[in-house]
Amino acid sequence: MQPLFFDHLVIKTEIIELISKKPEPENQKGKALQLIDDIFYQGIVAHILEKLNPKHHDTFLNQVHERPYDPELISYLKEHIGPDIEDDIRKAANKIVKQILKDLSD
Amino acid sequence: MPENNLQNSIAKLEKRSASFRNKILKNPAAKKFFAKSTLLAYDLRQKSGRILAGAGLVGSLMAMPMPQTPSFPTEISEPVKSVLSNKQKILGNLQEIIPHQPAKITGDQALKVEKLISENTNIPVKVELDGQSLNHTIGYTGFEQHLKRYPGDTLAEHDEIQEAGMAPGLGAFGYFAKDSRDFSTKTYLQEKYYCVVQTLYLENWNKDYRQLKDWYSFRKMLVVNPVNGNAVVCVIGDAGPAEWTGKQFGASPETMEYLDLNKGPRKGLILMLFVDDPENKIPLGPVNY
Repeated sequence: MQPLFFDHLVIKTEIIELISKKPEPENQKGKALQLIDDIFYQGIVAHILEKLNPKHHDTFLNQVHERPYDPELISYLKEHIGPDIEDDIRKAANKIVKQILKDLSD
Repeated sequence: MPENNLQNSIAKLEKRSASFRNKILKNPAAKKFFAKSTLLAYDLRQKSGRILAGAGLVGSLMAMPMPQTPSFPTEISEPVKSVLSNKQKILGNLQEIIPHQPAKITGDQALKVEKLISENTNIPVKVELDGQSLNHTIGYTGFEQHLKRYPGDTLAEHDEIQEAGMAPGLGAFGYFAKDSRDFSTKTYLQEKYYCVVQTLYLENWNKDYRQLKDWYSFRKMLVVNPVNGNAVVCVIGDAGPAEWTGKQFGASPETMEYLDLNKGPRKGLILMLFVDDPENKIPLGPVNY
């Protein structure tokens, strides 16, 4: 799997364990995992856009598009949102983890 | 039939994904931006891989510590050893089973192909499904243009391989989505991974046009390049090509790229099989096996 700039802030262990224990076919598990990957990406981008001054939105989105793996994106966010942005993304990701676990367990 | 729990969960996850997408698209800059970029992590990861590979950085970045991040496959993943052996099994055996020219396979030959592909990809495939079969199982495919996904769709809104251009008319089965609001991840992937088959030359096409059109439109297929084993699950998005072209199939720019048939003459021999997926569980796109 190729990296995205926020991967190190997202802990998906519980989700992966829960899905791996499901009895359904591997293809269906793969589909669920792909959707979950999309949800983290969309949820984290939405969260960052809420925090980031709108005048920086274009630059940030273009950088994500051009260099999706680049750790410098985090440096950019630290500069324009604040030094605690990594903790903030981590918290947002944990919230998404809980929502996904609920979706998978209901 | 027992209720499928993961299927229900997937429906909930799709809703959650849609809710995040809508949230992002309420932002004016994001709305403009995501008309040309992707909201799918899978695509972004692919892009990330291509950039890093181009810069020779994959090894070095992968070696960087990524604490607390377990492996997170976007498709069905297998150990590397198994990837090679399954592909090798298909490649080695296909050469002996199938002819190396356009043909329709039947009987034992068809059963052997179905068994070989289904067992090694975990995708149930059929040469004949519900009494329907194509005039060719093996044939030459051409590099098609993008198709309009919904009324008002433009080439600029397609996120990859824009140089392929956009077909001026609609596909034989119409738009993928009825309007831009109905356009979703599902229809986005359908256009990205579509194929073209010669339904127009089916023996009973003119007589049973209505039923056959319904049956074939957006039907899920597996396309395999027998030279390298690359395979893509796609949907039938158009009818053609004309007989005089010497080709029996067509495929979207993204499908052709994955099959590695997007260079030179942009044409190659492929295997085209129906995916037997009544519950719609098999995801569209490149097959990792």
